[in-house]
Parts: sequence; structure tokens; C-alpha cells
Amino acid sequence: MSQPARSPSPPRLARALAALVTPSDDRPFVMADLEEEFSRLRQDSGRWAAWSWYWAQAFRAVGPGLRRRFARDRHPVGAPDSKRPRWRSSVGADLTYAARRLRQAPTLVLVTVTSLGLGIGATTTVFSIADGVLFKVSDAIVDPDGVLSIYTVPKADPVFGPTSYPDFATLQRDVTSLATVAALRLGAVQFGDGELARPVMVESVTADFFKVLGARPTLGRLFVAAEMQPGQAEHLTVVSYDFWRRELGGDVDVLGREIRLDGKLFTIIGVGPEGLKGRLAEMRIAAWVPVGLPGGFYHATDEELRDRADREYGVMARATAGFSVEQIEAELSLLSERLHREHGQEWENTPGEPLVFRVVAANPGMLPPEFTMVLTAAAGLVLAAAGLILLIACSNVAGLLLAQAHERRQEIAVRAALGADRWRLVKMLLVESSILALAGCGLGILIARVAITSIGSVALPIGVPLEFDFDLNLRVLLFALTVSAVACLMFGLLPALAGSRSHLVPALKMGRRSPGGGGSLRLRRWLVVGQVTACLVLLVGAGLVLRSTTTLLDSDLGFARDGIAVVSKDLSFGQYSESDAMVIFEDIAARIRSHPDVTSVALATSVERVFDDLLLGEILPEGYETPDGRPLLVRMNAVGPEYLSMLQIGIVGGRPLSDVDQRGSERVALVNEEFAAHYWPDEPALGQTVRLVGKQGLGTAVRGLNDRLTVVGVVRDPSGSNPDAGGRELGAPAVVAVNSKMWVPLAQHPSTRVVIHAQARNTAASIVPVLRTEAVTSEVPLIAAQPLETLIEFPLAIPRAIGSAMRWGGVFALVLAFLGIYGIVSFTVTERSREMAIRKAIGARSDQVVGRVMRHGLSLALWGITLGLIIAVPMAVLLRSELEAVNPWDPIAVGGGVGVILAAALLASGLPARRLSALDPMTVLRDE
Amino acid sequence: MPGQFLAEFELYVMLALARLGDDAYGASIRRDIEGRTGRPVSVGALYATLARLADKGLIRFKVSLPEPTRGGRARKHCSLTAAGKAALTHSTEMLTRMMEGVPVASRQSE
Repeated sequence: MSQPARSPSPPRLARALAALVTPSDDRPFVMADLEEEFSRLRQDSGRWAAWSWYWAQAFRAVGPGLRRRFARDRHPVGAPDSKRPRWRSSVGADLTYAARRLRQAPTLVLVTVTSLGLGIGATTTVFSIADGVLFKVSDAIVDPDGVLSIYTVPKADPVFGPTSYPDFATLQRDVTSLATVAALRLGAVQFGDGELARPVMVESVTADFFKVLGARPTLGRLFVAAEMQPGQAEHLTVVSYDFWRRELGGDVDVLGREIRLDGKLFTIIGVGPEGLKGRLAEMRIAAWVPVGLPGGFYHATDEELRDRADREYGVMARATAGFSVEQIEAELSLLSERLHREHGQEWENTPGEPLVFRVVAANPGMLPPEFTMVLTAAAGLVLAAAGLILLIACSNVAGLLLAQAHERRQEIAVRAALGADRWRLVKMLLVESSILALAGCGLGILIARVAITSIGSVALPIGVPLEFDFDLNLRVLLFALTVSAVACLMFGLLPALAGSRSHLVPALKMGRRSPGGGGSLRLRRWLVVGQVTACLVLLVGAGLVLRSTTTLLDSDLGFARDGIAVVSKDLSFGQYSESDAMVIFEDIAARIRSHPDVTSVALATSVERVFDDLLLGEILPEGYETPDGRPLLVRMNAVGPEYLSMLQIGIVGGRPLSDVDQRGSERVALVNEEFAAHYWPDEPALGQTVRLVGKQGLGTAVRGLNDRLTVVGVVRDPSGSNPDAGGRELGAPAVVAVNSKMWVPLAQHPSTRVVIHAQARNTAASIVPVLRTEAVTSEVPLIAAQPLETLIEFPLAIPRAIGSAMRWGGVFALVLAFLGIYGIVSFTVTERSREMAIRKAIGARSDQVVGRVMRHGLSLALWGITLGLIIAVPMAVLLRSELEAVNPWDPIAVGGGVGVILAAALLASGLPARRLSALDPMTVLRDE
Repeated sequence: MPGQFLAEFELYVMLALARLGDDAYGASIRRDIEGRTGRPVSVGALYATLARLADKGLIRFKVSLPEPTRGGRARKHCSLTAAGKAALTHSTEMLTRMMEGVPVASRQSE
């Protein structure tokens, strides 16, 4: 019988199983025994017998092994247990028991885990984004608390603004309390060339940038001061670790290679430290390049580097050893005063109001404090909304568990009768809840992971790739776990307390049919009312937000947008004069115009409504007294002759701009109706004069003009705009005429920056590639080529996202509320079937009986709706200040929300109540 | 521990221990019970029972040195404690007393 052993050892999987389940102190002996018997059997009875014997042994070891490991003393829950501390002894048994029980209720597990997962997932997603933007600090930064951010701030108005390059140089040279100072500027540049070129973010930095951070390169070296002299900096770059891995394949031979950024070749000298991202909110960036490249790079020309009024740089610093933040502030305030004395107007926000330096300590992310505050508040709001969803989920789970507890009265009473005290029972029930919470936590983390990756890259129509790396770090995981633990207590404790309240005798005697549990039922009713409330708040909120966005889109904007595509072209950083630039722009326009799909092309300096503050005029309307005689800031659009007709901007009086308005001809302007009505209420606007004393654009300003413009036409305002609000002026420091607009001929106000508008023969999308190829060369346009419609809708993207998030939350809440009402009504139906049968037996009609039960479900919904309206209406009034065109009593939003909930409540209570109509009194009563 | 009753399988194990003496360890006990009762014995369950008996103070373990052969193994030898012997005596005595005059039982036991 004995055969030469080809494989003398027992089956590996079975051996692993046996080893796994056997307690460690016995493991070697058990394994040796099994082995011994196995080889004996192989000799005597053959391989197959030995093999099957071993497997049988392994399986049969599972039961005793697990029992020994987890529940060494298997006291039934409730049995007194004196040997060990009570707490420790029974958790294992509780776990086994809970797992067994939950396995028998897969629907309960599915519903609770899904609800919890969604709730925890939502809160975790929001938290990790807030964490990534607000709190995360790269590990690559040494002593991040020592990094100071310095801002240039108007003295009266705490807006933490950027600093100019000359000011940075002064800070670096003259402030003894600062040891190292660095400036940086974020920019979008085109990486690569030709067809493959695409925009990436880079940071232009000064020599000490990495020194301030204390960062070390992964490969190669970082910048040194000698190669970064302003105006003579070398074309060198340190690429980010992330970029190196993604785009350069993580190649170690990358040093010395050249990459093309905005058409210029840069030599890679190093790879940045792992995890070091952009300074602004840890944004993903591709590379660092020196400030002060000869000929300029990304708007930083030599001229701009010398302009003290051109504030574009973020400044970071480290203190000299021994100096406190207060001492630095003191030194900086002296310096501010000195700069004001030396540079006068250049060091003023508005005439007479000097600027000062402000220090924010421990701010390596460089987010200005007011930004942080706004973001924290926003994150808090969204977190609260997500928390609301979690709360609903928890209350639903609580409702389900309460129902469970009610059904388990008898079992619990038996345990109590055997001697389990209340604490013991609560613990048993809580162990079940924590298993559910943990599973929910796992699902939530999974959901958050998916959500975070999809949110990470935000597609903006402005051609700048903003990408953030949100990840599930330890802090986020801890947060999720904490949330789950809190949730577990929230949904588990109440049912556990309610369930463990033992009404021993009735429960034991009457079993399932017994009354009682009244308290827990009342609790469940309130939970459902709460769900309906939250559901209505979310639905109405979503309705209002979404309605406001559609209202905005459908409303008359005062111009046409169908078939029009736009792209911006910026030559302001090159060595072009305004008239040179205009020649280039006209050339591009002519090329686009010659394309068969394009019917006309018009140039303008702004985009109506969306980017309408790219050019602001400082004006003094003649015959109108401005506050303190200071000029008003008004939105100005310098446009080509085809512009008004292409956008179908209507004229109510006078004439449009046309080819006659040339450089040398009469200086003219069009104003809108509100402008005319506000500044010349009693006279016709036509023929009036507006004095243009200055112009402001993106980061540029021209002062000291004295340009007298004659009003030759008045532009129709969009219908529905409020004439009372017309021309409102916002107060100091800059007086802004809010709803006033002015159009001037581009020929008379040439610019180095235009937005090219093109009318398509068919759809706007069809000519987007034409605009892209003709207008976009090496630099990243401020406004990427796209249909005008898309651009107009862009500001609505955030309210829309909020709206649809609220709607999904509302739908989720609706499903939960539906389940809640359904659960309660069907519970009532079961509980009261006897009562209803008696009613029927003594002559009640079916519909009366059904109506009685349904009324119960509907009353819950009505309570919830009432409470929901009490919350929703003030919320809508608050929203009105945030969103345009929100009517807090919007019939569709409010009525829709209420209607949907009522319909759901009808269905949820009708379905179980219908069972009653089929009820045969005799059957029910006999069953009793 | 007089007065203590042993469960059926515990009794089998204790009896096997008494019979095997110095040679009592997992595999031999298992073979002994299986051989005499014809009842398949799971190694896992046997060790669980041994652990329980040891917890009750009825048996004690002694781990032997590995056998001086190739691949030789260490064994966990078991022996009865005084309390174990007393409990075994007590249980068997009670069993005998209970079997007195029972025709089926006595015939099988003969």
C-alpha cells in the first residue's frame, strides 16, 4: 500500500487554516499531532484518505479553536460571571453573537451600512477637502510653524494683498529681524510645444525660496543666488517631484534635460522634494523657475520688476534667531512709514491712505487670513450639510434598531431574567451597533476616496489647470473613525437603552404580541419627523438654488450669446506697444474671419457680464458731483465696430459705435440706461461729457489722463434689471458705480489685451478649435477658447454644484424618510391588526380602517413639513442675499418639496395600510 | 476534587490518560479514544478539552524535549494530577453505582 511519497506534506491550505484557528500556545503540538497522524494515514490508507482526513480535521478545528480564542469562558449573555472583569470577559462572546445575529438580517445590514456609508462618506469627503486646502502642510517643509507670510495691506482695510518686487527687495535688504526672505508668484504656462502643448502651473521664485522652506531636493540641486540676478537669471528649473514622476517618468537621468515652458527652453537642475506642492493651498504645480529672466517670463518683465506699485508677489520669510513676531511687526511698521515717505503715491492704496506690511506667522500655505476665514466658514457650512445627511442616516438606523429592539423584547427579557444587568444588555446591543458603524465607516472611506479623486481636478474655463491632491491621510481617517464612533453612539445608544428597559413579566408572558415599547415607538415617530424636516429643508434649498440658476440663465442678459465663441489674447508682457499689439490682434481677427465657418469677428477688452471688470475707467461725469470730487470706477469695455451688432446689444437713443470712430476722430462713449438716468436725471444723456482720468486693468493702471468723451448713444439695459439700484455707488476707498457701464471704441483706446469674439455659421462649439489654433500660441490664455454660453454659465457652476449636492442629499433624505414612515406604519399595522379586526367585526368599513392607519403616517409627514418650513423659509431669506433671483416663497421650489414629501408619505403609509383592507377579522382573531 | 462530575468526552480523555501513563500526548490519546470507541476525534476539540481539564486543575502538561531523530518533535505530555485522579475515581465510581442492576448497561460493561 505504501507508495513513494511525491509530496509528503499535508495540504497547505488546510494546514494554514488549522494553524490559524488554533490558539498559539497549542499550535505547535496540534500541528505536529496532525502531521504525525497524516503521515501514518498516508502509509496505511493512502494519499486520498490522509488528505481528506486532514481537511476534515482542519474544518473541525475551527469551532473549538475560535471558541477558545474569543470566548474562553462561554457564559451566555446574562449569566453571572465572577472570575474575570465583566467588561473583558464578554466582548468576544458579544461579538460572536452579534455577528451571528446580523447574518440573519441581511436587509437590516444592507440598509444601515449603506445609509451610514453615504453619511460618513459625505462628511469625510468634505473634511478631507477642507483639510487639504486649509490645514495640510507638506512634510518637505522644515519647521513649518516658523514660516512667516508677509502681505502688503491698506492701513484702513485689512485685505491681505500681494507685494511688489521692489518692496520684496527692500524687505530682504533692510529688515534685520528677517533672516531669509523669498518672493514667489503663481503662473500658468504652456508646457511643451505644438499640438502636445498644454497648460501647467509654475511658481516663479527668488533665490531663497527653498531656503525659507528648508526643503531639500530629491535629485540634483536647488537654485543659488548667483544664477538668479534680476534681469540676468538663467533659464533653469527645478521640477516638482509630482511632475517628475508623472510627466518625466521618474527618470534619474533627468538632470540637464530641457523642457519647454511658454516657448522657452529651461534646463532641469533638480527635482523638488517629495510632497512639496504649490504654496497656495497645496495646489499641484509642475516646476519652479527663477524670477527675473532676461526678456521677462510670465508677465514678469524687467519693467514690472522695477515697478513698486505693481504688486504681484507672495512673500515668505524666516525670522532671525531671537526675534519675535512682535519685534518683526514693529520693524516692518517703521519700514512701511519710511516707504510711504520715500515713495508717496506708489505706497498708497488710495490718495492719502498709506499701505502697511502685515505678518502672518506659521503660514507656509500662504493663504491670506481673510481667505482662510471665508474658506473655513464655507467648509463649515458644507460640513454641516453633510453632517445633516449623516444625522438623518443615523436617525434612520436608530429607527430600525428601535424596531429591532422592540421585536427582541422577549429575548432581552429572558436574558434579564437570567441575571443580566442593564449595563450588560446595553453593551451587548452596542457591540452590534459598533459592527454596523465600522462597516459603514469602511464604506464611507471608500465613497470618500472615489469622490475626492473626482473632485481633485477642477475644470475651469479660464485655461488655468487648478489641480489639488486631496488624500485620505491619517487625520482624515481619524476623523472618519471619530464620526463613525459618534454615529454609533447616536444611533446605537438610544435603542440600546430603550431595548434594555425590561418589562420582564409582560414581555415574557405575552411574547411578540405584547403591547409596551410605547416609549420607543414615540422615539421612532420623532426620528421620522426629524427626517422629514431635514428632507424638506434640503429639497427646498436645492429647489431654490437650482431655480435661481435657471432663472439667471433664462433671463435677458442684454446681449445675444448663441453661436458666439471667445478666446483671450494677451500681449501685455511682451515688448509690444499698444498700437503694435492692435496690429497683431487685427491680423489674428482677419485670419479667423477668413475661416468658412465664421461669419464675423469682433474685438473687445472685456466679456459682458462674466469678465466685465477686466477694464475699469476712472471717470468724472460732467455736471455730477462725486463724493469728495473723487473719480468713480466704472466698468468699461473698449470694443471694435462689429461688437455691438454681433452681440445684439440694443441702442435706445443715439447711435452705435462704428467705423467712423477712429483714432483721430471725436472721442466718444456709449453709456447704459442706468448710467444716463443716474448721472443726468433731468437732461438727455446724449451730448453730455464724461471725463476719463484713468484706466485700470489686470494689475495695470494708467493715471493722469484727461480724456473728454462725448456720449453719443445709450444702451438698453436688460429687462428685469432694477432701475432703483441704478448707478449705486459703493463707498470709500474706491468709489464704484455698481450698475453703470460704458462702451468706448477700441480704436480710440487700444489695448495689449483683448478678447476675440467670433460668430459661428453653425454652433459656437464648431469654431472653438479655429480660435484655439489661431489665437493661442505659446502662452496660456486667461480665457480659454470656448463658447460664450459656457463662459456665462461658469459662475453658476458653484451654485449649481451646491444645488445638485443638496438635491441628492434631499433625495437621499427622502428615501430615508420614506423608509422611516413605511416602517412605522407597517409596524402599527402589525401591532394593531387585532384592534382593526375588532373594529371591522363590529361594522367599520375597510376604508375607515385604512384611513385611520394612514392618517397616522401622514400626521408624521405633516409635522415634519411644518418644522421644515419653519427652518426653510428663514434659510431662503438668507440665501436671497447670496443668490440672485431667489424668491423664498418660490412656488415651484417650496410647493415641489412639500408635494414630493406628501406623495412619498402617502405611498409609504398607503402600502402597509392596504394590508388592512384585505384583513379578515375572523382569521386575525382566531390567530390570537 | 471529589464531587465533580466529568462530561462524557472529558471522561474518555481522562481514562485514556490513565491508561497511557507516560506515553500520553495528543496523538496517542486521540488514537486511543478513536481505536476503542470508533468515534472520530478532532485534534482541535481534543486540545480544547485538554485545556479545559488543565484549567480545572485535573491534568497537568509537561513539554518534552524534541525527539533525537531527524525532524523529531516536541510533545506536550499530559498526566493526571491528584485532583484529576480523585475526580476520575469519583466519576467512574458513580458510573459503576449507577450501572448496578441496569441490564443493558451491565451486559455491555461485562
